Amino acid sequence: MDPLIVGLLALAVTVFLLAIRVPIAAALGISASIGVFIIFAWRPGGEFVAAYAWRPTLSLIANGPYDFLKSYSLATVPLFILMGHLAYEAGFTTDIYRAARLWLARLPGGVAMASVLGCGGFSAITGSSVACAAAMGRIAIPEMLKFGYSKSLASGSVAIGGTLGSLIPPSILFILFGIFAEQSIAKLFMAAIIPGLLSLLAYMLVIFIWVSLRPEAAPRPTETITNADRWRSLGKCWSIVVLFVVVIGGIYAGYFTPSQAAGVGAYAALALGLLLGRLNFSKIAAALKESVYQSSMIFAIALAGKIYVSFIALTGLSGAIGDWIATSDASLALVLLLIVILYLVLGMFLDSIGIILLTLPLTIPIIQGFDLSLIWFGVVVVKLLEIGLVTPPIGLNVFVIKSIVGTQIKLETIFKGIGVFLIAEVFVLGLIVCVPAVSLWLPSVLQ
Amino acid sequence: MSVLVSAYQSVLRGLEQMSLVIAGIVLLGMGGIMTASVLGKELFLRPVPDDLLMVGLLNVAVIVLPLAYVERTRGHIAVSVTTDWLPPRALGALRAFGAFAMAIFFGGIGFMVSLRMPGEIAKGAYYDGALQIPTWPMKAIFGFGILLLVLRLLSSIAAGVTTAITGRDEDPSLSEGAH
Amino acid sequence: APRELRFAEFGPNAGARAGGLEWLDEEMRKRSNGELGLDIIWGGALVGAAGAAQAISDGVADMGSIVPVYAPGQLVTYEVVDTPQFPDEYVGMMATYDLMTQNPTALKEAEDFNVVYFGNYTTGPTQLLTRDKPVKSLADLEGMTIRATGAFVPAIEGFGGATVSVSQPNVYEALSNGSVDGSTTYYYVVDGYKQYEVAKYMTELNMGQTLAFGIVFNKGAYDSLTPEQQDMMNELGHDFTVRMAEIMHTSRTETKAKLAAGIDGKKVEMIDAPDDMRKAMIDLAEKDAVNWAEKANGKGLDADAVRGDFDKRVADYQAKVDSEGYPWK
Ligand code: NA
Ligand code: NA
Repeated sequence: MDPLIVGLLALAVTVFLLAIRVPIAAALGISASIGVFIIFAWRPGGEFVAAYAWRPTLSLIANGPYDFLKSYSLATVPLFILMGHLAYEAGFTTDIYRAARLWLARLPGGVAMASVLGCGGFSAITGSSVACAAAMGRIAIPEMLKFGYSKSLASGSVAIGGTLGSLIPPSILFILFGIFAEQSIAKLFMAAIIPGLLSLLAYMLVIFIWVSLRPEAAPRPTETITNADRWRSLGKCWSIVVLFVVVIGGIYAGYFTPSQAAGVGAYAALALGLLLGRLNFSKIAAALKESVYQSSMIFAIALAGKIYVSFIALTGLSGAIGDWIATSDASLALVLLLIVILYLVLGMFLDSIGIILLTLPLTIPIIQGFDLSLIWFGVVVVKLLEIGLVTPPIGLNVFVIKSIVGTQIKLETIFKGIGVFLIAEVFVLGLIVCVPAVSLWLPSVLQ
Repeated sequence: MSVLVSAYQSVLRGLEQMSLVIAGIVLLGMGGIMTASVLGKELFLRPVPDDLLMVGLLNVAVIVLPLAYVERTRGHIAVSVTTDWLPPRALGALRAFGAFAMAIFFGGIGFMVSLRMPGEIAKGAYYDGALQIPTWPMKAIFGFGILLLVLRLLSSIAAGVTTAITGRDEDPSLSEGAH
Repeated sequence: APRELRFAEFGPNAGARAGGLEWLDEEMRKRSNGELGLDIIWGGALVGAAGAAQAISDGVADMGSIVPVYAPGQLVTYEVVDTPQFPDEYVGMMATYDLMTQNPTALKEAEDFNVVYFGNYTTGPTQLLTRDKPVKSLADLEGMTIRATGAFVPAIEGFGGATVSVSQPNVYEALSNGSVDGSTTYYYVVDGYKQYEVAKYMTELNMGQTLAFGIVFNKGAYDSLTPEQQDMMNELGHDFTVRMAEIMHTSRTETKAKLAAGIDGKKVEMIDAPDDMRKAMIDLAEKDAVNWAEKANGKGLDADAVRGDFDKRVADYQAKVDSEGYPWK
């Protein structure tokens, strides 16, 4: 059977399994495994021979996930999660959210805006969007819910804010892109800064409009707030400020790498909590329990997603689409549109790194053929990948948030919240695609 | 029969609890290795040898050991919006099917990874590095974590089938549809 | 339609190695009269570097690039080629090619692992890239933090440097924020991974290369070829290795010139390592070979015989190069 058809059928099977409540990890894993089996058993032009397929199929579905789990760069995600939980258990996050609430009382959705801003700050620590959403989610969502924020606003704003993790440097996605496209990584980092800040601004604008239209989504404080209250609340924030200074300062002063910041950050939160007497055995135990629980949930899906990427690679699906676009003789505008659609569709199902590996060998030559800037294209691709993290059915950042909130908030509520932000994403993306200067201006003046 | 079932349940719960605790300790150890490596480098020019390798390997335990506990609390994420309208019996059947799919998928991975272990022990295979860390122990832990998950999934299948027959969910507070 | 062998490549479709693979694909189609070609899956989308050897052994791909160190205990003979410290790409690759296609221990291990060796790569000689402090003598290493692997760990620690392990794609960030002062690296990596953007000096140590780095077939896939196709592929494997040696040799010379002239205004200053420094570091690195010998003996292989065989082949090729020069000149 044509691997292309196997690929399309498997996508349909995935959607069906998801629809009948099969856990996401199994839905991805089973449909990819069956697809892989068929491709190995049914060589093009040959007969169906199941005996050919057992060993490679089982090898792919076993070794892939195992090697994936034991990679160092992924191991930082559980540690960033732990840092978030420890900061929460020590009450550091409560301090800063109380201050944000008092200071931003007049601003519609002020605390949600502060959360998105916090995501922007956290993205300067980590190169991973998933880590960003996980740590910030733990810090921000419970506080917002405490203040009576609507579930979709609270969860949606952090899920979308987390996507800044790979857009604002440092960012592993840009490093990968630079290697594939033979482009300066320093320039890519610079090029991403304005689009990253624009995205941040757009999210805050969405929150402003959302809450202005529906004030009940973000109730304002009803008590009278004095200036003394405000300053007192700010005074209590020093502990989390110390934590951020240690981690960001340590990275920029060269004491450790962004990967090591995960471990150092967790231990800094632990040490600070113990020193201030705000952590005890049971709180630490609770933080550890929640962290491994959440990591296990997220990685169960991520490892199945890894198999899915290998499966799509075997089908040649992305290659066929790339070839089709490259040979279509279409106008530049149409080609760009098709590429955007390709990334959005793949983003519905696959993880960001997987999509980079699958598509860049095909899309880079197309862009080069039109003599367009690959630095600009890098920013476009990463932005598209970030959008993929929050689109259904497979949106890893959404699952991360879901793993934090448990049964409190339903998956579709989070997706609904994100839906509102996606309108802003369309505008930001359009701006990045149509006005290359948004990306290229900063690297040109800083050279 | 019911004595056997409750013994199965309590042994399983004990093992799940233990695995969760170990995973937490391992996570703390991972952060400890990273931090010690940074401090060792800054203070004595001696980072922890094989730190990348160890942290990566330990991550396997952090992820795989809690899988069964997550399943017990019905924590594995699924899409429910498409099926929320179904009656409890149908949801029970879907739950059993979902758990079956999980068991096939993760069981397959665990089986294949464990299968390589005897050969690696016989060959004495280890990862290149200062500490010559053998390859098999983490695979053994991986196999154990998956085995525990499969045992828990068997219990989920049984619970789903029971709900499909009786229309009652033994713990509806845990299911998504209840909210 | 041609039969397309599924080829798993963990690197990107850019840079020196990718050029070699594209040549291989074209040459295969030419020499097989359009019967055989490659379906290359780039960037590790199918399997990454760490899983490649096992995956090809299991038939996930028909062919692919592998680093045997990632398949512990499987191709121990192959790993011997990383133990001696010498810089010549052609000599190293051809000696490795001959060892892997002629040495009975190597052939037996490959057969047991269900793979057939095809041809070789190299990283080229190991150099030392430093961020903002030039290393001009052994004394300069004192107190520096260098990213290093394998035999280079004792060679640097022996002279008062600290070593850390950082994976190659993360070296950029580590150099950029200064959490390492330098990194052992290769010319094509400095270029491909853009490390020249974040480091100012390169000390040309010209130490050993990574030669345990090549292409293998899945045995079943190889056996499914007709005898004529197998002969053609055997010859092509040899020619590919020669071609790759030329590519790596010229890319080293070109990259060196490029870095010295500056890329986008980012210059790297070249420093010739003094002979005594080079010699002292090589001495320490060579001692690391005991680890390999222990591993090989542990598996019941005759470590001395294997190493002796490889050393002899290296000496023979070196003599040949000394008298005749490289085949492409
Ligand atoms: Na970032
Ligand atoms: Na998505």
